[in-house]
Amino acid sequence: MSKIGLWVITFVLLATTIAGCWSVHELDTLAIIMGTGLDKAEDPDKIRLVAQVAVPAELGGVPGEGGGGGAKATTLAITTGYTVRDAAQNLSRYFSRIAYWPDMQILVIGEEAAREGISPLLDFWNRQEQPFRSLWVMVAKGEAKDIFAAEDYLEKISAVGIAKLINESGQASLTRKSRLLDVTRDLASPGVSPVLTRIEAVDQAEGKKRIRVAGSAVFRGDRLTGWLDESATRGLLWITGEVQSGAIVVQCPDGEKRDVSLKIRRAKSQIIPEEKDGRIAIRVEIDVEGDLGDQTCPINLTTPEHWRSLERRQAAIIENESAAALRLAQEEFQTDIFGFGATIRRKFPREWEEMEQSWDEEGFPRLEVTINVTSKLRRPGLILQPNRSR
Amino acid sequence: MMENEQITLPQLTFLWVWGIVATGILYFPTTISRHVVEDAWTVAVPFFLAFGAMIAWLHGVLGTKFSRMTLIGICETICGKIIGKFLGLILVLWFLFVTALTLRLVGEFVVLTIMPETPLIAIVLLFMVLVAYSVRHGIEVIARTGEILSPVSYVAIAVVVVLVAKEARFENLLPFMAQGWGPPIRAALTPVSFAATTLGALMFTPSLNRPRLLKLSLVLSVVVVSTAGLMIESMSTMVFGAARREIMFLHFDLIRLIKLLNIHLGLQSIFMTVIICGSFLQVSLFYHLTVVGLRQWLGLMYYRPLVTPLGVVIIALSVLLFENILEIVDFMDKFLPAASLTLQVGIPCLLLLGARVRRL
Repeated sequence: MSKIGLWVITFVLLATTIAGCWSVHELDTLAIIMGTGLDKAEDPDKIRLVAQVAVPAELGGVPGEGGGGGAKATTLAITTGYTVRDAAQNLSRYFSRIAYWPDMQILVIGEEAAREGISPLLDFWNRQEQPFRSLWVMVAKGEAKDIFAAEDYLEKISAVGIAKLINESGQASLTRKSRLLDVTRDLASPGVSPVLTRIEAVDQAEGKKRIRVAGSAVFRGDRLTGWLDESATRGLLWITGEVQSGAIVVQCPDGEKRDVSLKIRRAKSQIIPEEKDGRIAIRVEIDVEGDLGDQTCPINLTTPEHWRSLERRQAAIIENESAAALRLAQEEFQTDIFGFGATIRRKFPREWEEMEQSWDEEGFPRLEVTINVTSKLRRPGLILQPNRSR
Repeated sequence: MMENEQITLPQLTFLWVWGIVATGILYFPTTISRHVVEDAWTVAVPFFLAFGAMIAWLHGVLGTKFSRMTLIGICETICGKIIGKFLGLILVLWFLFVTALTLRLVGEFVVLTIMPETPLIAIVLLFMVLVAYSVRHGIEVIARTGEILSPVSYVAIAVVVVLVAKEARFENLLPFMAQGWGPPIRAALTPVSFAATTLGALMFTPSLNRPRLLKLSLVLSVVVVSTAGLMIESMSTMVFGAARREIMFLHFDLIRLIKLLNIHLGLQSIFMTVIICGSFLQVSLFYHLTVVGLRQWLGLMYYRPLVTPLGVVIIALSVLLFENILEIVDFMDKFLPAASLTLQVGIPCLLLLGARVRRL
C-alpha cells in the first residue's frame, strides 16, 4: 500500500472518531440522581418513582455566600409507570436532562409497596450496569416520598446524609445494614428471609422533618410482614453476628436503681445445626467482649465479684434481646430472618430437602433454638472508680 | 515466511491460556451456573482431568509424532488425498466458526456492559480491523504480544481477587457435593469444548523451536486455566451465594463491588482492558489458524491474500450466526460440547488410529 494511501486512511479514521464516542453525554445534559424512592401510585397497577436530583449550581460554595445562596441543592422528580423501568423512562417527560444513575446512594421502598413484594422493584437496579450493587436499600415507614421531604443536619443532599447514616449505623447497631447485594443474595437463598433497614421521617421542632434510621423491616419471601423495634433488631444482629459496636445498659450490682453502661467492643456468633433426638435443632453461640462504658452508681465496680456480676448482667441482656427477636420471628412473623434454614441446608442437605417445602410455616416456628452467651468485660477505661465513690 | 517464523513454548502456553479463558472468563460462569451453584469451583477438577490428562495429551502425541507437518498436512499424509482434503476442510471451517463465535462473544460483552447504545457491528468491525492487522504480521507478532500482556493481566486478576475477598463468605460454598459429581462434570463440558481447541496448536508445530515439549506446553496452559477457574469461581460463589444463578457476567459484577475507603474504584475498566486484550489475542489466534489452514488446504504460497476476505466472512458470520445472547449461551451449553469434542477429539483419534494401521 502506498504511503499517501495510508495517510489518507489515517486522516479519515481520525476525522470520524475524534469527535468522541457513540454514547457521549456532556455534564450539563445529565440529571444526576442521588436517591430514589418507590411507592404505590394511586392507580393500583402503577408504581410511583421519586428521584432526588442534585442541582449542580447550588452545590458549590458556602451557604449564604454567592454560589449556594439559600436555594435547595436538590429537586424532586416524581413519575409513575407500570414497572420501575417504565417510571424511570417517564422521567424524561418532566426532565429536560438524561437520568444519570451511577451516583445513586439509596433506594427507599415505601411500606405499602414493600407489602406487595420487593422483587419486582429490585429487578431494574440489578439489571442495569449502573448504579452499583452496594447501593443501600431500605424500607420507609409510611411513604418513601416523605423521606425525601426531610432535611439532613449536615448534608445538602439528604440522600448522601442517609447513606452516611446507614454506613455509620454500626456505632449503635440498632438497625440492619442492607445493600442491594445482601438483599438479592438473601432473596435467592433458600432458608433465609431478608431483613432491611427501616427509615422514617420524624417531626422535629419548627415544623421541620428529620430522618431517623432505626429498627428494621422483616420480610417473608419478598413481602414485608412487620417491623422489629430497636432492641429486637439488636437481638437479630446478636444471633447473626453483625453487631459492631454500641452500648448495653445494665443495672448497677449494688441493688439501687442506678445504671451502668457497657461498651460493646467485639461480638461474634456461630449458628450450629445439630441432630437432637432424631430432630434437627439449632445452637447459637454468641461471644461478646466489652468494656465498662460509664456508671452512675457511686461504688467501685472493679472488684472481682462486681466485675463478674456485670458480665453476667451483660449476658442476660444479650440473651433477652436475642430471645425476644427469636420469639417475634417464630411466633408472630413466622419467617426465618436468621438464616437457620440455610445453615441446616449446608450441614444436612438431605434432611433439608424434606423440610424446605414447609419451612416458614412449620419447620421454623417449631425449631428448637438454644442460645448460649459468653460475655467478657476486658477493661474499665482510664479510671478505676468514679470520683467520690464510697 | 511461514518457515522463518519461530515461537517458543512459553509463548505457545500464554497463547493457549488466552485461547481458552479470554471470553471464557465471561461466559463459563454463566453456563456453569445452569448446573451447579455451591459446587461451581469443583468444575475445575473434571475440567483438568478430562482435558489436561487426556485431550491435551492426545493432541501433544499427534503433534510430536508429525512435528514437521501442520494439521492439514497430517490429515493428507494419513488419510490420502480425498479423505484428507475433506477432513482438512472440516477443520478449517471449524476454526472459522470458532473465530466468529469468540468475536461475537467479545462484541456482546462490550455492548451489554459499557456501550449499550453502540451497534454490535461497529464494535466487531473495529476490533476485527486491529486483529486483521496483527494476523497479517504473522504468529510471531501475536505470540510476542501475548508474552507482554499475559503477566500484567494475571497480576490484575490476582489483585481483583484479593480486593474482593472482604465480601466473601466461606459458608456459601456449602453444602459440598450435595448432588454428587454428575452436575460438575456436565458443567465442565463447555470449558472443555473450548479448551479442546488446542488441536489448533498442531498448525504451528513446524514453527516451534522445541517441538518435543509440545505436550508439556499444552498441559501447562491447562494447569493455569484450571487454577484461575478454581480461584475465580470459588470467589464469585462466596460473594454472590445462590444469587450467582441470576447474574450474567459474574466476574464483571464481582469487580464492580470493589470499594476502598467507601469509594468505588471503578476497577471494571481495568477488567475490561484485560478482557479486551485477552480476547484480542484469542481472536487473533483462531483467525490466524483459519488463515494458515486455508492457505495450506488450497496449496498457496502465501497466506496474506486470504486475510481480508476471511476477515469479512468472519465478521458477517459473527453477526449473522446468532439472533441474541441467550441463543449463544444456550448453544455453548448444549450443542458446542458435542460439536467440539466430535471434531477435536474424534478426528485426532481417527488420525492416530490411521497412522498406527498404516505404520507411519
